[in-house]
Amino acid sequence: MLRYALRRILMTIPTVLVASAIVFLMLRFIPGDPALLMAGEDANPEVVQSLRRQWGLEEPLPIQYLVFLKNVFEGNFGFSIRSGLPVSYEISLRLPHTILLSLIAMTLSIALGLFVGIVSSTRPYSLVDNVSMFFALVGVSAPVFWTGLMLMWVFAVKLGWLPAVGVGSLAHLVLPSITLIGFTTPVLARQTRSCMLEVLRQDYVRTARSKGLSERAIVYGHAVRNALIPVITVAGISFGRLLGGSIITESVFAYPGIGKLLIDGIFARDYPIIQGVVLVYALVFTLLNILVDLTYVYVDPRIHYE
Amino acid sequence: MSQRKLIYLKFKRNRLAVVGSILLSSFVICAIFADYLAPYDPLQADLADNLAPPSSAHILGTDELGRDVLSRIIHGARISLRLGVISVGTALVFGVIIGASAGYYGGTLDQVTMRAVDIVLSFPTMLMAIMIVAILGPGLTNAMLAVGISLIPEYTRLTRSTFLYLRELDFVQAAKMVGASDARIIFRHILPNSVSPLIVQSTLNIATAILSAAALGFLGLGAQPPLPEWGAMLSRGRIYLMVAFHVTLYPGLAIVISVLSLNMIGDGLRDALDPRMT
Repeated sequence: MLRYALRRILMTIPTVLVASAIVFLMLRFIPGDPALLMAGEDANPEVVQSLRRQWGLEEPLPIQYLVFLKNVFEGNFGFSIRSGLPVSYEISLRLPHTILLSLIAMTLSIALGLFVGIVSSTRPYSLVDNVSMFFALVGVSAPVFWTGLMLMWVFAVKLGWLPAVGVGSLAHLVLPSITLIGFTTPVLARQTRSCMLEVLRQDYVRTARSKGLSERAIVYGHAVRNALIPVITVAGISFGRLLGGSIITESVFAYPGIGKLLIDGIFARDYPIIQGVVLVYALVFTLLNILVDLTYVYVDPRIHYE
Repeated sequence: MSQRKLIYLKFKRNRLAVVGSILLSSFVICAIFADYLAPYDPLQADLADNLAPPSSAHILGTDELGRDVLSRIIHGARISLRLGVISVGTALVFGVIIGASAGYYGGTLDQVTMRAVDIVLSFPTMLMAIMIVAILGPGLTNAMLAVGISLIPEYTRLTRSTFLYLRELDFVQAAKMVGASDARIIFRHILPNSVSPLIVQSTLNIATAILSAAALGFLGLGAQPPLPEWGAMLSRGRIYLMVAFHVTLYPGLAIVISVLSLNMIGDGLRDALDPRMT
């Protein structure tokens, strides 16, 4: 198992390298000279030139990329054009907030989504099922920024129960978390239900039932286990949805995470920040996917570790 | 009864799917006949009457520049639907071509393609779209491109797995034995049989595309003012949430209902095309 884990991690390294190259290249293709942007339109051309040299913008592209890689390994992501502070520092200030929000949202989403999906599947076409699946359908169709704004309007503006923006207390986490949870749970609920229905149709479930096993034992002992495999895939995909949704949610609630940092950076044309944050997201997402794959292998006894 | 008729009847029995179809048709009609249906010019500003709540003159109120919200929503339907169809159409064409080649020929082509897909997929979809717009600059066409590109991997994977499966079936083997050319096999035999999952996927993807484009619009990275794109409208209305929340509520509802209708239809199609369900 450990060998498989290591192999899996090794296999993703070239993918991550190419991904980082893409991030690096993408930003070099943007029209406009970052040094000129930083120094200002009417700056002294000598100042601009020295900035270019300082940032190594004069070097050929492959050299720039290698320098970039070396820096990344050392944890040096460059300096923010906007604030002058190291990008790694800016990220480290905000990453904990994003992680906290994402962790809360993900755990609760998975728990809620699985629960609703399982309950729905065991009472197909009942009132419970129809109502939950309808809500799930609406949930999947609602833009995350709209639900966030509506929640903000109801609970922060009209009722004044919760703060609308920023961080500082547990209360500040409530609205963004609920928004994100409302964004990812429906997908998980729908998928769990469909997987469970698939499994409950199987012959071995019929056998178990005819043996006299209680419904509960069948559902939790057999059905859920077998439905878990495709559900894990969906959980994996919903990580991506969660990360994307968190970028938007942070914007809506002015929540100081790396998502907000990214958007602010894009508008300020702060390339080092954009690069740094995108890399962090890509790395986190890749690691999450590896985790999902390993859970797969652990859960499905039919897969043999090579 | 022909297979197509069966599918149609199965679809019709699904109440949600039918409701979805009706809703979607309304949106399509809004999109096509926006100029005639909208009571006001969506770009006509009237600063004296801005942020007005819904009234008999302006059924959904006015926005921060005094423009009629209803008219902007109706015209927004055109933008969103066009966005959805074009981005999904592009993703479909490229994704299917790449996926079909990978699935049919296998070997190195397959390996390379899958690697490329993995690399693109190492970024969450929304992030990919944001990145592309960050490079190309904000704007409606760039948003379309960004959303389209972020959807390609899904089509590639889907087509590839469908082709991998169909390639091994008897009728394909038979065609090969008779000496049919690759092109003939692909276009005459395999492709027609891979259409159903693609249709379902595309319907659902148009829904996703509209959501992604609206998100880009909300972030300020998509359609730019004064275009009445729903996401962008929400973004501008947000500042006035305290005093005039109708500017945020109604465009958002428009997004929800249009995406919902597409999802209902997509679900209905999936169930109707599923050979296992009665």
